Parts: sequence; structure tokens; C-alpha cells
Amino acid sequence: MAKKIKYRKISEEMEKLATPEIKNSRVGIGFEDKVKEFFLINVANLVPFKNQARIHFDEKEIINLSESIKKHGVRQPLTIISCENHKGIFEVISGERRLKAAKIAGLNKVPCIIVHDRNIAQEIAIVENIHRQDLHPIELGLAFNILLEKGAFGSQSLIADTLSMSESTVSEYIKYTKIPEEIRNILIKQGIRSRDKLRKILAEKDNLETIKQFLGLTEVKKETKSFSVMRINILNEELKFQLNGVEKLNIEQKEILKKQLLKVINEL
Amino acid sequence: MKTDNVINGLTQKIMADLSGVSNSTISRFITENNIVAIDDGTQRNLRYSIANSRNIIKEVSDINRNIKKKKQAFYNFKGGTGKTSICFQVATHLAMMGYKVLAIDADPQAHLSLSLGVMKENNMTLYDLICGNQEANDIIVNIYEGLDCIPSNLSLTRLETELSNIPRREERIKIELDYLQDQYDFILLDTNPTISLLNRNIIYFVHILNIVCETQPYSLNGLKLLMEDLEKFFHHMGIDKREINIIPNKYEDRTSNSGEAMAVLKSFYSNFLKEDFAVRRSEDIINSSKYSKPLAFFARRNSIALEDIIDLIKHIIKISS
Repeated sequence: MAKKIKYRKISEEMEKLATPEIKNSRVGIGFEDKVKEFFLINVANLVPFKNQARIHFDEKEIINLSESIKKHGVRQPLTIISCENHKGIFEVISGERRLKAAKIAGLNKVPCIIVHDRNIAQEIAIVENIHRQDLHPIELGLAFNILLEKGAFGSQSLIADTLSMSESTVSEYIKYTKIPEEIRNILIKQGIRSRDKLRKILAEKDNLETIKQFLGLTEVKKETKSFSVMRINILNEELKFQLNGVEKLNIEQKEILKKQLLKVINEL
Repeated sequence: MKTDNVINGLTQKIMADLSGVSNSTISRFITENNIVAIDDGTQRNLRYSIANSRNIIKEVSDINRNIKKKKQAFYNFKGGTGKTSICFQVATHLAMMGYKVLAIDADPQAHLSLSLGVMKENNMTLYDLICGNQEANDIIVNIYEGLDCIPSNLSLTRLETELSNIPRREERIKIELDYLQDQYDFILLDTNPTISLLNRNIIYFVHILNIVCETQPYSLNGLKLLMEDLEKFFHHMGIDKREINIIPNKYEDRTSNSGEAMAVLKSFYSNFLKEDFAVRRSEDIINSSKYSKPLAFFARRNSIALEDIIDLIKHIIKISS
């Protein structure tokens, strides 16, 4: 058989049309659910998510972030959902800090992933923020409440499963939301997140004064003045005794001290 | 050419070409076995029935019969590249060569059904198989020995909206049709030129995608988009890449654009091509569609169309084994 193909030189125009490439372009039908496509959205069209879990934004941190955005751009797209009543407007589910920072950095458009299901949106808002692990336990508790009210999750245990937390932790965080709002805001702003402290405050939730004392917000009254009675230290393997406080005790207190010390002696 | 004169049968020369043996081998086999031609005439013009021709070719040729990659689509989302014409020729001639072939018309325009002579508005189609609880065997129509067809008509367009509401919507054809592999050597699907859920189903289903591509600029640009889309589909569906066989079609020796297009194909897609091969533009292929007769039934001696189709079929058998 005669060879039947003649090859000719490829022109520049043909090369432009035909050179294969894999671009990060929008996908066709069939796997759009599997691909997180992102869009560049005008910052003026982005508003905070109604059920935003984060309450407190640290301004310094946002300034730092905006510096980084100036240098490197927004590296991770925001997640947004279209606003129910305003065409063209989107609520920011996750990435509000990035949005604030991008605005400061002077960006007009930011990369966004658009989700369509409101329940999923809420889930994303929580999950993304939790996985970044800097939400305050009270902010989490408030968000969990919203999730339950909105029916995004049927029960606390479902939330626990989704977030890989224990159910008791979820239920405890929800209890924290019963702390009066004034106190809650102080706790969040000051970053007080030790569980012991939060539990103590929760136990006294109806007793504002006591809570304020826990937080050192009221002056300590004189009656509760404390001093050290005795201290025993080891310094270079040598026992050091400081017993000056004993003199300040009254007779009853001395009796109590004796009994306690005897117990200690018996155990030695 | 008048269609009245076309007899559904093969001459000795065409049997020889399809088998890859000499004319005399065929002629000797026919004499030894007292095989009778359909009509009387000179030996050059005698035609033998499809059933006889299949047996003769099976007996005299040593063509590989162990086909592993049975499921194949003729695909492209560029229109007018010749998918249906090529699918029609490949399906009919594979059947004449003794394979058992199922041709599935997955194009609502139903041109494959038309060429195979089974185009009816009230036919049941893939739509009824997937959405209407019909069994494949109730939909399949026999064309002639070795060739069956699942026909199509406009009702197939309804499949698209139904598919989008079904779970595992890219896998429905595989779920419904995979068992047919045991009954056939080849399952060939003709597609319509879109990227649709139906076509996603087909890509998901097949082993090999035969991409029919014209040797001209839009077609090469379309090919680039198609390859990118396929790459992404395989990646995001988490499936193995389907084998790709690019078939350059409507090549014209005299035009420089065809030659340039062939150079583009060679430099970018040589892994997916039969070397130095294209299906040449020819009136025979167009006539074949017009008269709804495969080339073998009417092609003259030394028809370039039949020569190219036979080369293509041999390549397809090779990559399918």
C-alpha cells in the first residue's frame, strides 16, 4: 500500500489552536459536585454570614494577615453562599478574616468557592472554623445552638460525630452559652478558655458578683485577705522552713493546724 | 449506483481483504465446501450471503478472536466529524468478519439506527432501559448475522433530565448493560456530539474511546478541549483512564491544511494514533450512509474507503486484544 499521509509544517496559528494543555478551568457536566470551582468575586458583594460562628476578630491579626495578602494574595479561597434575597450578593461562610484583610490590602476581588445548600453552609462554617482551632469554646457553643435550632443537625451526638469531638464536650460547650452575655463577651475577648474556670463561672451563672470576683474584676475584700502560714522548701537537697505565719494564728486556728500536722506526721 | 442493485452479501475479493488472505484461498475454500452464491454471474461479481461470508472468513483467517476490551465508544463533542459513519462501518464489517457485535445508538438523531435500517419513531431505546424498567434483550434488534442494535430516536433526549435525579448518575449504563459483555465480542456505541450525562455514562462504561477527528483547525482545537475534559473526568471520578484511539477522518491528500493537521496530531498525540494513518475523504463513505449499506455490499475493487476502514478495523482489533 502506498504511503498516503503527507505531513506539513505546523503554522503558528494552528499551533495556538491545537496545543493541548490542562488548565484550571471550569469543569463540564457530570463531576461539578466533585470539584471545588472558584470564582473571583467583588469584595463589595460579600457580606458576613448571618450565622457566623466567630464573634471576635483580633485586629492585629487581621493587619498581619493583610500584609501577607499584599505579598502573596489570598492563598485559600473563601467559602460563600448566595444571599437569599439579593441577587449578586453573597454571604461569607468561612474566610471573613481573609475578607477583612483583603479589603485592607486593597484587593477588589477575592477567590471564592460557592456552596448552594444552607445547611451545608452552616456545617462548613463550623467545621472550617473549628478545625482551625482558634474559636473560643463559648463561640463554639453558640454555633452548636444555632445548628440544632436550624435543624442542620438532629442531635448533639451528630455534631460530635461530624466534628470528631466527644459528645460530652459538645454538651459542655453548649452549657457555656448559659453564662450571661456580658460575661461571655469578656471571656471571649480576654481569651479565657480554661475549662476549670469556665465550669466555675457556669456554676455561679446567676451570681454576677461572684463571677466578677473569679475574674478579678472586683477588688478583693479585706476579710478574705490571705497569708502563708508555713512554707517548707527543698533548696540544694536541704530542707528550709519558714514558719513566721504561725505566730499570726489565733488559738483555734493553731488547734486545727496541730491536728492537720499530726495527720501528716502519722503518715511519714 | 442504485440501491436496488445492492445485494446484502460479499464478493470473494472483499472476503479476502477482510480476512487478510489471498483471493485464491477464498476461492479454493468456496469450491471445496460447495458454498453457493446468492445470485448467478461471473466469479468477480458473485456475492455470498452474510452468514456464509462470516463462516468463510472465520475458517480461512487467523484474526484474533479473543477480544478483551469489548466496550468502545465513537466519541467527540465536535459535531460532523464522522462518528456515526465510522461507527457504522466498523460495526457492520466487524460483524461480517465473524465477530458478534452489538451497536448501540446513543444519539437521539438516530443516524446509526437509520443506516442499519431500524429507525422507527416508536422504538424502545436506552431511555427505556434506564428509566422504563425494560430488559436489554427486549430492546435489542437483530440486523443480520452477528450484528445486533439498540436503536434510538428523539425520545432518548428525555434521558438527560432523568439521569440527573438518579443516584450514581454517571454509572447507570454500566449498571444496566455490563452483563451484555458476555454475549458479544464488541459493544460499540455511537454518541451525539455533546458533553452530557449520557455521554459521561458512556465514557464511564467503555474500555476504549475512539475519537473521530477531522483534519482541520476547529476539530483540532475541539480535540484539545476534549482531551482536557476527559483527563479531568477520569481524575475527579477516581477511575482509570480509558484507552483513547484518535481516528483522523476526512483527510485530503491535496490540501495543505490536512497535512498540517496530521503533523499536529503526530506531534501532540502520537500515543493515541495508528502510525501514518487517516481515513481519507471519499464519496463511498457518504454513499454508504445515503443508501444505508455498508461499504462491503457495494464498494468497487480498490475502493480507498474500504481499504481505510479495513486498516482501521485491524488496528481496533489489535488495541482491543
